[in-house]
Amino acid sequence: MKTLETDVIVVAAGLSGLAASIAAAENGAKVIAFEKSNTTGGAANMGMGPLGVGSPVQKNQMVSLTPGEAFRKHMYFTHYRVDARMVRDYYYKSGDTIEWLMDMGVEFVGVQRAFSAPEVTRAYSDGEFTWHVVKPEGGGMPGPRCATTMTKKMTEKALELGVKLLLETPVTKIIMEDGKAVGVLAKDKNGEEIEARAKAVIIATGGFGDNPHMIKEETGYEFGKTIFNFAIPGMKGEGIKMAWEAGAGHTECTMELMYQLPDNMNHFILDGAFRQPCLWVNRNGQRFMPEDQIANTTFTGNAITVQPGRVAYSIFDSKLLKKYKKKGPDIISHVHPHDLFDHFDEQWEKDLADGYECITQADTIEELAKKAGIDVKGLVQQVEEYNEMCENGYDELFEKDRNYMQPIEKGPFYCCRQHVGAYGSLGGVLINHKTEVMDKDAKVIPGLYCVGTDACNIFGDSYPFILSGNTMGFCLNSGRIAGENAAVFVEEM
Amino acid sequence: MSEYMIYNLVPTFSEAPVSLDLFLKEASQVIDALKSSKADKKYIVYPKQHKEMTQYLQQAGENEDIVYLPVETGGAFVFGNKTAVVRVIQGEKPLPTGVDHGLPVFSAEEFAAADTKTVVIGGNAKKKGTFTFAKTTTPRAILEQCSSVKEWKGMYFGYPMGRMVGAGQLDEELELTTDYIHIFDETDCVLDQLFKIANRYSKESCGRCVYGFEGVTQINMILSDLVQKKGKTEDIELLLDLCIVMETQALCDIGASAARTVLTALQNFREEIEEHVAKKNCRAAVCARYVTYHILADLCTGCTDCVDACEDDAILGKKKFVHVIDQDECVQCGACMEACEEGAIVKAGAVKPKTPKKPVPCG
Amino acid sequence: MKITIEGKVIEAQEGASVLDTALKEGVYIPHICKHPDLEAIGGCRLCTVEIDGIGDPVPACKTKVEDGMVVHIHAPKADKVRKMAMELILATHPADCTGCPKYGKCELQSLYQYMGVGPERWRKKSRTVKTDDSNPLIQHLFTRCIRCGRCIRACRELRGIKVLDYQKTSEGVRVGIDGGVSLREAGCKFCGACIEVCPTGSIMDAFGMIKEDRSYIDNMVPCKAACPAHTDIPRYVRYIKEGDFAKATAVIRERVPFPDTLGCICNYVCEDNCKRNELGKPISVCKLKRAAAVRDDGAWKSKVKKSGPTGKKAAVVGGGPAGLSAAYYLAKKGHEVTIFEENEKAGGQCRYGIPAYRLPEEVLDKEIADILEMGVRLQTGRKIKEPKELLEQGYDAVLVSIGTHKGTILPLEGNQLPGVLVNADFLKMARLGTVKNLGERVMVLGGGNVAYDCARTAVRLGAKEVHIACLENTQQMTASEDEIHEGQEEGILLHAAHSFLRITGETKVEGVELQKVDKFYFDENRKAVIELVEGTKEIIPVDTVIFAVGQKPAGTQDMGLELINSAYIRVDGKTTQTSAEGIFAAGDVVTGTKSVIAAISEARRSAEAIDRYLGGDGDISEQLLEEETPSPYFGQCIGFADLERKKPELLEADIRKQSFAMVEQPFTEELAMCEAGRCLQCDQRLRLTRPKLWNEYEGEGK
Repeated sequence: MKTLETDVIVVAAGLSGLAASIAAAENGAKVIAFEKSNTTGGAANMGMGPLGVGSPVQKNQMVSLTPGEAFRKHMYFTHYRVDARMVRDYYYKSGDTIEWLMDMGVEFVGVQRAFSAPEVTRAYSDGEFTWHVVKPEGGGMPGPRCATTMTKKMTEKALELGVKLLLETPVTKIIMEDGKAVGVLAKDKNGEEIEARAKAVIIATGGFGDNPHMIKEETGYEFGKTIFNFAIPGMKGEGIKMAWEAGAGHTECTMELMYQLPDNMNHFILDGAFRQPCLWVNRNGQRFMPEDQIANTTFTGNAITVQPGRVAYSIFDSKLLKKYKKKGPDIISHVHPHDLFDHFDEQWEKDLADGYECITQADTIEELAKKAGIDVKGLVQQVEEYNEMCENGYDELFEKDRNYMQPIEKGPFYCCRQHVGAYGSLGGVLINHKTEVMDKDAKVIPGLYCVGTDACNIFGDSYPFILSGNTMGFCLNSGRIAGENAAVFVEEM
Repeated sequence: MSEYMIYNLVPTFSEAPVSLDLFLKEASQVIDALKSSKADKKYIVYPKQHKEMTQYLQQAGENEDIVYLPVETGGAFVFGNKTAVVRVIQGEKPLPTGVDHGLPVFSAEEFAAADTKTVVIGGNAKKKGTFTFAKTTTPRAILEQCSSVKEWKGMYFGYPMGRMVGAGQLDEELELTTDYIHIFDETDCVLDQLFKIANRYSKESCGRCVYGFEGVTQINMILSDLVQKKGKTEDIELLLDLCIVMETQALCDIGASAARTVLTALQNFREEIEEHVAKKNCRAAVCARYVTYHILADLCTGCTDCVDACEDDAILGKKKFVHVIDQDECVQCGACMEACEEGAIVKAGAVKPKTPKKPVPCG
Repeated sequence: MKITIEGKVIEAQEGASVLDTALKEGVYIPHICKHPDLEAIGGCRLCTVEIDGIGDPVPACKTKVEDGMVVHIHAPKADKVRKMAMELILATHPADCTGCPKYGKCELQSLYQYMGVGPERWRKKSRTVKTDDSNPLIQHLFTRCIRCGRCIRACRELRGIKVLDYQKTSEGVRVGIDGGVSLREAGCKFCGACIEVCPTGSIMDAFGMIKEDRSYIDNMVPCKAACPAHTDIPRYVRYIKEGDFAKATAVIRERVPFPDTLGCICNYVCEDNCKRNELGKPISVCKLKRAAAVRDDGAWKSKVKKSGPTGKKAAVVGGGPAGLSAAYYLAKKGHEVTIFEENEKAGGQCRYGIPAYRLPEEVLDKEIADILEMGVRLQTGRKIKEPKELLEQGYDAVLVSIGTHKGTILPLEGNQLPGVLVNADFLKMARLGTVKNLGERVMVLGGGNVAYDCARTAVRLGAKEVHIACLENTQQMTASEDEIHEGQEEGILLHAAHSFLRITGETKVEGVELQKVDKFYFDENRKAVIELVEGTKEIIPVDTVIFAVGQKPAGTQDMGLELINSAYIRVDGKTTQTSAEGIFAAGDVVTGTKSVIAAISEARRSAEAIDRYLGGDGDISEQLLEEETPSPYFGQCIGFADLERKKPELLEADIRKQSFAMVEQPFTEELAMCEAGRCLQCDQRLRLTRPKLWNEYEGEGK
């Protein structure tokens, strides 16, 4: 058994852990960060950038949104069912955090919004320009994963500040003495135990997206059956469990819903190709939302989860397919390739031959419904009605954008079953606006902090895409708040 | 003295089995020469399915001194790389490990230390087939022999040379190392040809190095977009950026040759290629996506033959009405043009004929 | 020679590459197709550097150092080549890392983080390949493949197995198996080298093979991890394969002082954890151990180190495998050790609880003699009532390891009748030759190995008809398959899934009443639930009934030590010390009846703790054979996965029924070598170097 001693221990070096480590070290604390993978940055390596409000980047782009406005918008979106003090402190810090990152050498290409909503729904669903997209090293266009440059710069900064980074060394337990957190037990690469003592412990392990058991237990979804979420390996929820074991209060956990295909990496072209405002129905064959909203993954994920069997079907016909091939898709997403339909046939035929269970092709609507498991009568009737509305150019049911009122009439017909997905889990550990962990009676547990996804209880039931970059934004800012507070706590002791 | 010696008969281009033909012409002399060479082990590597070679082997029978090693392919670029051929005698796949030309691997011509090079000429040459030239020659000397069907545009020296030659370089001396030369005339589109060549490289790529494999993949995808009218103006620069690096950084000369082909094509025919993007025009009217079909109102009799021929239901109109092609629906397959007995349907490039917007009564 | 890299002057080895030289000196140059154990090919171009005097940038992995060479890593041309190469790799690699099980352990991801470039200016298209999880142990997810070729070089050049190779397909070149056959058919040896060197999530351990709660090393070599004493199984099996039995024994002896004994009677949990189970049957580890031990030449003895006398005295109460082992290790540490053994000979359960046809006296005698040779004193016929006396007599520490020698009798009607025996007494009497009046018909109650020991002993003692009855059905029974099979050959009548209602008879045993069991299981409160089949009662006439339903420690109540469950000694989990200062306990008396190997392993822990208690450093590890690096080259063997598990020769049932002669013969040399050749050598995977990632380098070049 090895023993270590320091001021602040950070459990996991993902985005929030890195932010916490840097902030604590900047404020004079000695820091050890334990990370079980061999890379820092955790899930943030996949992302494109964090939220910030009131940053220099926004000012450059003449975005006038203030932290106060963002706070109001967030609270409106969540109906005040979340901790307003936390939300307030977060948004007011977020602009400065962007500058903080820029001082480390992180560059941003600019601010973006997640969605630009169709005209009819603009008032409700337009995103704000809060998403600070990280500039890849040496310039170039930003794309998925570009935030990894930020995690690298932060890692370098942490090392420069003397943060001791122990990779492939998972923490197994928080050591509690007299109701205070005083250290952790960990295991190194070879399985040797480490006992590390500290004055404060910050938990930042990123939720339980990769723990089917916990997903079932906490949210009721069944991984691989009713939900196909990103299961980033290692997101096992240990941090949450360790916090609970140490006496932390339990908050409701949610899944950060969206939608995607099972095994979507191997069917990525179809994943993108069917995310079009064609015809979307549920298992009874009935439309359930205006399809012009399907670019909004949060809304669509939410909508699918309340349909029978938690599935939906997106359908287009040969004519529409031809149009997509010729003119490109109606909706282009951030993540899917722009030339999806150039490779559609190839992937479609391969997947049909391989028996990929989500897809169906048929020459008639009846046959399509039968093969796909949709109510035959329901679908036939719905298609008839829908085509009639297309003819008239107006969606009487949902007022879908008329540009997308394209009939489903010429076989063969193509259908793809859509499932509920999620970016990960949210919340679990009860904290206050200083990120101090509280017990079930809302009493602070001295020396214990929890940040990032493990403690992200401010989104309410859905990811607030209207203020995009929020996942990373919360991780960074809660991490930073914890690091600063822990350093003060250490000094006062 | 080297441990082994390989006489390599596998062509780089299956359509140009130069080494194999030369061998079969004077096999017994070659065998004698091989026998008298001082290597410990001597191999002849040849394509297994080649009929004449199989016949020859049946007649000549086994030879104690020489190991005959058949390979499954009728020809592949990797056999132009000596490190790859050596792997065949080790029982491995012929994958290049680098660019080492010092190995004791010989083609028929190298073995005979000939100062001539035999090549196969294809494409729109007036005289196609096998020719022999001095090893160092000029494109003009070659063109004088084979000439082109219509107005000559350019010529392509295949792998491992990987050179597109245009009018400006006809008199430049070059060392002939390829087995295959392709002649273009005015009816060929350089972009279309380049895309086909890139396709070939993509099939030949061995996958062992990033520039060779991913580089060729990118060239292919970019050219494919250009051919399909999806190109962007920055694509030309992107190709140059890639190929300049690729020419020196690919692991073997297959990748380098692919890069060189693109570079020399852009050097000589940049304007013609760029026109596809900038002016949406294919000079030779070869690239289907740059061509539109139109029905001339004065010639159309409203017979509906073309309507029936169109599988995409892209032709509007009924009996006795001038038919109109819905350009949104048309996939430029050309079936209507073939179906029209009146010659009323025409192909157009940048300049399009005036036609009615909707079907109107004939006459 | 000296070269300069990024302005730093570095001492370089002639013939080394620029890349290796830089990395060795802690200067990081990104790279991915180069693996420390594999030939460089220069394919990925990520290690591109500029060298003064050479025009074009070159790959550092393929460039040999030259004296005075000046190398620039971060120079415009090299940067351009490197970044573009990374962009090109990423352009066709799936962007969706979140679905990838390698996330957080991926070299490409780490490199991507280091380089920070994106593929956005290129055409992006991932080449999808259907995930292949049809092979045992290895999963192929080639959509994630970046064609670095490391797996291929590991398989073809390093291991010489030659299964993986580049494959041309209509969708481009990819890694695969010639002819598209399964790994098994292709002659894969499932060594895992391809998995180990794969920098992405393209080749992975099959789903379920990696258990979260085990360390990486334990996951890689599960047999060794499962062995309570962690004997280095792959290492000794390899020596057996090479026919070097003495060296193999030395390896076993590094962890246990009873190789031959264990070779006869170990319960080999290692075999349950053998990765070969995924291909069919496990390696016959236990029998290989015996094959080695019987051919031992004692060379290991010259390597045994004994510390000088410490002046401390330790007493061991109970000379079974635990007591003997602890005594051995304590003696080696220089303590004066005395064993007090109640019986006339040492050996404990090995001598009195296991029949001689499984473990002959000579084997045990020899291995005990080796232990006594270390200077351990043995006093037999000495029963110690209270261990405290020994402390009073001047011993500095006492270890109680008296095992579980009291058989359990179930509360059953008729259980007091003459003719009722218990396992422990019966087996001991059989060893001593004092069994009388066994009668012609015997029934053993119980479904474990001990029940078979009793039944097969009864056969050898002349019983004409021997029954075994147990609650468990044949799947649930804890007796090993071999025991059940060999017992059947010897004519034992098994009544599996039967409840015993009562023993009949007035003055002596006359029969046992049985009833069929429909269901037998433990409910959520760990309570046994037995559901019987109506109308299936029957009485089997017998003369003797032997209970074989468990054993307990005898005499612990009077020892003045704190107990658990009224008979077992409570110890501190870390120190094995009992409630009394200076008194330790180990083996079955603490854990309940387990296995000999478990007892030895517990004794080792106890010996460490006692040594520390007596002022030593607690280090009882020993090296009886110098570490040798085995060849990484495995060679080809078509049909390797299907090689059948070899069996040693057995005496014919009719012959073995006649006497207590050893039933099973040791493996012949040839068979042993053959069987050892089936080993996957999982430990060899650990010998592959793990490439260091950028964040593990310090200073320059980062």
